[in-house]
Amino acid sequence: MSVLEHPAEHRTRRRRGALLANLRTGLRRNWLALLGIVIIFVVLTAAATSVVWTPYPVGLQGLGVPYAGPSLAHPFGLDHAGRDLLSRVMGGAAIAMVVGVGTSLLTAVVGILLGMLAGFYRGWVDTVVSTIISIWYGIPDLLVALLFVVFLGRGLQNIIIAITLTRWMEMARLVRGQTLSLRERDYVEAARAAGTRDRNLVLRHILPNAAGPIIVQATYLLPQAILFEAFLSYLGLGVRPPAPSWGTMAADGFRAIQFAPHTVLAPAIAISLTLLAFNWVGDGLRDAFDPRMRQQ
Amino acid sequence: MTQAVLSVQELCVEFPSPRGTVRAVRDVTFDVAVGEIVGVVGESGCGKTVTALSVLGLIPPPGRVTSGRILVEGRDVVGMSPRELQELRGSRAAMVFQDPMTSLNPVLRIGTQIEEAMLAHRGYDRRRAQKRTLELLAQVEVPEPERRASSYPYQFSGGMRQRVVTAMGLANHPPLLIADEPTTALDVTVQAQIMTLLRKLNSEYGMALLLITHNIALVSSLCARVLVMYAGQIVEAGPTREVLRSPQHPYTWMLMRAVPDLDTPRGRQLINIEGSPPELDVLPSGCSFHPRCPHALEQCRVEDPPPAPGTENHLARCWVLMRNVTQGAPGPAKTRSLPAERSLDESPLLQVIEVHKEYLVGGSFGRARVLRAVDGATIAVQPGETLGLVGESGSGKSTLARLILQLERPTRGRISFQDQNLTTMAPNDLRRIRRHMQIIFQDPYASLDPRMTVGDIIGEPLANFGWEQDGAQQRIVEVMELCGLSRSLIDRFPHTFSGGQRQRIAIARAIALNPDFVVADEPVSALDVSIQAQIINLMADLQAELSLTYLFISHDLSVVRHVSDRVAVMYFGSIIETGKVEAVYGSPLHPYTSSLLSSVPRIDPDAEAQRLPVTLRGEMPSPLDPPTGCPFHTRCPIAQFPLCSRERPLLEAKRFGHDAACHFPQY
Amino acid sequence: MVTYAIRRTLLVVFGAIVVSSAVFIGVRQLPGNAFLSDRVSPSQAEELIHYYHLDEPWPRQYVRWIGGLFQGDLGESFVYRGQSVLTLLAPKIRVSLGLGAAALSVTVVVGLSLGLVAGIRQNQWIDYTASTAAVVSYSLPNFFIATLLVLLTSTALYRLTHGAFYYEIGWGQLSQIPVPAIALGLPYSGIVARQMRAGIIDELRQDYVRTAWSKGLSESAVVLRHVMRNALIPVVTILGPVATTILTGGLVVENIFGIPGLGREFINSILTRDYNMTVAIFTLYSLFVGVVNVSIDLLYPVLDPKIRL
Repeated sequence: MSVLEHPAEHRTRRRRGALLANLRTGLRRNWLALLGIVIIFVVLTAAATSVVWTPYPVGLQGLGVPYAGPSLAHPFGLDHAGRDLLSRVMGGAAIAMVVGVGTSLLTAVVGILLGMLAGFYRGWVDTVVSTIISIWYGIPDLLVALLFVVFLGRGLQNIIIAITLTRWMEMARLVRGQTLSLRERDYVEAARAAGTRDRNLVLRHILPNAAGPIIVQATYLLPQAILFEAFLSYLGLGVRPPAPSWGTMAADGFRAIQFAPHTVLAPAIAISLTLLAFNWVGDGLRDAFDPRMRQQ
Repeated sequence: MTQAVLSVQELCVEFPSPRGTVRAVRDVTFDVAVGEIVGVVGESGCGKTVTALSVLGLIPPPGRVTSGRILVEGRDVVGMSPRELQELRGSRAAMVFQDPMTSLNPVLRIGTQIEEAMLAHRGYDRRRAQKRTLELLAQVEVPEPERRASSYPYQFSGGMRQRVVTAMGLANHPPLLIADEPTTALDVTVQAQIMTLLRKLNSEYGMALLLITHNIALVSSLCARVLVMYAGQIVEAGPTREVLRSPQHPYTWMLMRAVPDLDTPRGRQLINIEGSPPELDVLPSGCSFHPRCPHALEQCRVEDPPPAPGTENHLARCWVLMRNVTQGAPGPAKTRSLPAERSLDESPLLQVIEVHKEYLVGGSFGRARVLRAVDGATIAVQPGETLGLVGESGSGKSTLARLILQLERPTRGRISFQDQNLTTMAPNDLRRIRRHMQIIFQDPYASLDPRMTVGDIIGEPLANFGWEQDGAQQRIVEVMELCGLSRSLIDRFPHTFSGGQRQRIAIARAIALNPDFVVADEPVSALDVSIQAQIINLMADLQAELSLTYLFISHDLSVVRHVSDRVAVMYFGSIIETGKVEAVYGSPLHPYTSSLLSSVPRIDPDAEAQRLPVTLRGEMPSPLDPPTGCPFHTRCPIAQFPLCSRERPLLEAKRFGHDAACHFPQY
Repeated sequence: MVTYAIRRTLLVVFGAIVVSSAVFIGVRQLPGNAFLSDRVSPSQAEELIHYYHLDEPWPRQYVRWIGGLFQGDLGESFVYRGQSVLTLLAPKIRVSLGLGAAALSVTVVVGLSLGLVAGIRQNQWIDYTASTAAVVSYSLPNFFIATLLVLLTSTALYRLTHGAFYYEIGWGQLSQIPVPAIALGLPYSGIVARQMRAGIIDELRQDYVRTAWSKGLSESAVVLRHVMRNALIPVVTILGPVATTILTGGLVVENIFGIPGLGREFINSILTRDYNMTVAIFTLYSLFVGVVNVSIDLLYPVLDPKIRL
C-alpha cells in the first residue's frame, strides 16, 4: 500500500497524449539525456550534410602531407593517404546512422511481429517461436555476422541484415513478454467483452501500451549496431574502402597511434560520443516510461 | 498515572513534493496505555499509515517529522540516531504490515526471518533463537512448526503468512505492536481467526496494540478506544462504545451510515458523502471537512476547530457537533423501494448449469496437474433482479464471471442467455450477443486503457457495433451524465481521475450499449468506504432507470446483502446455497454460510458483543487436490462421516425457493 | 533439475549441429579452395581436393561430416595437412576459455560491486559517478579500450618505471592475463553494474525490506542478506548474453594482444580458406556458448526457491 494514496481528482491539466507528456517531464529531469539529444542532433546534421557537401571530397587523397596534424584548413588533420579527416568523420556519421537506424528498424519489425504472435496466440505458436529464440541465443553473434558478411559480401545492406540476425531475439523476447502480460490486463478483457476483434485488441490496446519498452529497446539497439559495425570494420569486414566507416578509420589509425594520434582519436571519439549519446537518451526514455516514476 | 507505552504529541509530518508540501499528518495527539488496544480508523490518504510508520521512524524519504514528539516508553523517537532506532525497532515496538504476500522475503526461509528478528537484538545465540522461533510459531497457531520453519513464504497461504509476520513482531516481547490493516487482504473467515489471535496475544501478554484499519466493525470488535482520522488530523477520539453509539463529528456520523452492515434494515439507502477527501497539499481553509459537510457553518470555513471535549474523554474536532444538530439527519435515510416479488416461473435471463472449468498446471511434460477452478456450478438469474454471488478468495467466483461472459470457455456444462446456448455458439454470433451482457471489473486502475481518453473508452463498444460518429458522440455524453460525469471530462485520460470516478467511467462503458445484463465483479472492493456508497447508489439508480439485471459478485457479505434480491454462496468452485437474501442471511441452511455470517464483525458494539463466531478449522483446500465427497467436509463443524467424505451433496431445494448442497442442512 | 539440465544440453548440442551444418553447407558453396597457392602444383591440388572429398557433391560431404562428428572427429585441416583439427585446436581452446573466464570474472566482480554501491546510495554523488562510469565503459568499443591498455602498459608504464616494468603482449605467463582480461571484461561490467543497480533500487522499495527495517536490522544485514539475492535474479538474466558476447568478443582482443586463441584461428581459417577449421571452430564456439548459458540458467533455482526446474 502506497503511503501517499490521495485520489487525484481535480487535475485540470489537459494532455494531448500521455506518451508525449511523460517524455517531456522525464527528459527534463534527466539532463544527460538532453545532452545526448544535442550530440545526436549534431551527428545527424553532420550525416545529412555529408550527403550533399563536405569540406573536401571524402575520397580525395593527397591534400597534404600524410598524417598531418590538425590545422586551420583541416581541423581534424589528414590521414595516412592525405585525406581530410573532418570530411571523412562526417561521412562516417552518415554510415553509422544508416547502420544504426536501419538495424533498429529491421530488428523492431521482426521482433514485434514474432513477439506479438507468440505472446498473443500462445499455444504451439509460442512454443515454436520460443524454441527458435532459445536456440538462436546460443549462436555466437560475432561469428555469424562475420560469416554472413564473408559469404554474402560486404556492403551496407548485408551488414544491416547480419546485425539484425544477431539482435532480433532480444526484441522478440521483450515484445513477447509485454504481450503476454498486457493480454491479461483488465482493460483488454473489458474490450473483448465489449466485442472488440482480436486484430483491434492488438493494434489499439496492446501495441500502444507496449510501445514504451519497445522504443527504449530500439534506442539501445542503435549504439549496439554502430559498435558492431565498428567491430566488423576493425576486422576488415565492414563497408568497402574507401567508404569512411568510423571503424575502418580507427583500424587504420591504430597503426599510427604513436606519432599521429589524431588519426585514431577523431573516429574513436566520434564513435564513443555517439554511443554515449544514444545510451543516455535510452536511459532517459526508460526513466520517462517507467510507470513508477510517473506517479511522483 | 502509569506511563503510557506510546504517547504521540502534536505530531506533524510533511512530504515536500514538486507540487507543494504535502501535510500528511497534522497535529496528531493520542496515547496508548500499557496493554490497551487502540484503533485508528480512516480512509486512504487520511494519514493513519504515516502516523504508524513514524512511531518506528520508518517514514519513507523525503517525508519527515516537522514538529511534535513521539514517546515510546518515555523516549522520544523523533531525533533518535539510526543506532537508537535500530535498537527500538523490533524490541520495544514492532509492526505488522498489510500485505502478507509481499511483507516476507521470498527467497529466505520463514524460520530464518523470524530468527533474525531476535538475533538483531538482545544477543540471542543461534540455538536459542531457533528454539524460540518454534515456540512463537506455536503461539500464533501455525501447525507443524518444525516443518514449517524451514519452508519458504510461497508455500504458505495468506492467513498463515500473516501469522508468521505476527510471530516476527512478537519475537522480542515488545510492549507495543502496531498492526497496519492486518486483515484487509484476508478472507472473512481468516480475518476472524487473526482477530482472535490478536485478542489472545493482548490478553495473555499485556501487549498494547495500535490497530490501523478502514473497517469500523473491526474496531468495534477489538478496540477499547478509537481515533477517527481525516485529512491528516484526528477528528474524533474516545472510547469505542461512545464514539460508535453517538458519534459527534459529522464525518464519523456519515461514515457509519455509508457502510452497509448486517444489522441495518435492507431498504435503507446508504448515505452519500459527496465529493472526496482533499489533496493534502491543497487543504481547504478552516475545517478540512467543511466542503463535504451538510452542517457546515460560516465558522467552519474560516477556522479550524480544536478538539472539543465531551463526556468520558470523547473529543471531536467540530464547531457543530452532532449532538447540537436539531433538525433530522441530512435527509432521512431514504428507503429504497425493494423490487416487487417476482414469480419464479418466469424464464431466467441467464442459466448456468453444472459448469466446470479446469486448467492444466505444471508445464513440463507429464507433470501437468488439473486445477478445478469451477467445479460444477449452477445458478440462474431472473430478469430485473440483482443476484449476489458471495465467496471467499479461491472460491472461483471471478472465474465463473468470466465463463458467463465467455471470456473463457467452460470445460463442461452449459450456459444459456435469453434461452440461447452460449457454449455452442459460433464466435460471430457470440460477438453479437455481447452487446446484451457487459462487465464491470474490480480494479478501476486496471480496467481502463491508460492510453485512451474517456470518450474513446466509452465509445469503443459503440464503435464495435457500428454506431455512427454523431450518434455515438451523443450517446457517450448521455451515458456519462447518467453516471455523474460531466461532459467536459470526455477528453481526459484515466490517470487524472480518482478511483471512484474511474469506476463511474467503467460503469458508463458497460451501459453504453444498453445491455440487459451486467456482471459486476467486486465493483466496490477497491474503493474507499465513502466512495463505495456513491457507486452502490449509482448502480441501484441505473438499475431502476434502465431495467438492468445484475450479477453482483463480492466477498463482502454486508454489501451483497444490501444490494441483492437473491444471493448465491460459492465455495471451492461450486454453489452451495441459493435463495432470497432474507432467507439465506436470516436462516442459513449450509454450515459454511452460517460460519461465514458469524465471522463478520458488526458495527454496533452491542451486536458485536453478542456475536458468536463459528470458527472453521484450517483453510480452503488446494484446488489441485480437492477433497472427496463434500468439498466442505474438511472444515465443517457438523460433518458426519462417512457420508460427508464419501458422497457429494447436490444443490437441491430444501425449502421453497431456498436451495442448499448439504447432507445435514440446519433447519 | 537434472532432467532440465540434460534437456537443455541436448538442445544446445542440437542447436550447435544445426547451425554448424548451415555454415558447413554455406562454406561449400563458395568459390575457390585452400589449395590455390604457388606452392601447390595443379596436379597436387587435384589430388588434395580428392583426398578431402571436396569433389563430391556437398550432400555426400555433409553426411560424411556428420558421421565424423558423432565419432568426435572434426576432420583434418586443409592447411596444416595431415593434422586433425581437434589436436590443432586443443591448446587454443584452453587459451580462449582461460581468457574468457578471466574476463567474465572481471565483469562480474567489477559490475556487481559498482552496481551495489550505486544502488544503495541512489542519486548521491557516488551513484552518479559509478553510473556514468558504467555507461562510458560500454559505450567505448572494446578494441579502443584494448589498444589504450596496450599502449599504457607496454609503453607508458615502461617509461614511468624506467624500465622496471615491462609488459609483453602474448600469452603464457600469469602476468599476461590481467590486462587482456580487463580489456575484454570491463565494457560488459558496465552492463552488469547497471542491471544490478536497477535491481537493488527495485528491491529496496519492496515491502519485505520495510519489514526487515522494522525488525531493527542494520543496513548491512538488510542489503546483504535480504536485498542482494533478490536483486541478483534479474542480473542473472542478462549474464547469459553477456557471457556469450565475452566469449565471442575475445576475437578482437586476441587479435590486439596477440593471443593465440580460437578467435585468431577463426579469422585465419577464413582468410586461408581452411574451411574444415572454420566449421570446427564454429561448432566449438556454439557448444561453449550453449553450455555457458545453460550453466547460468541453473543459477536461478539457487537464488530463487520458487523456481523449480
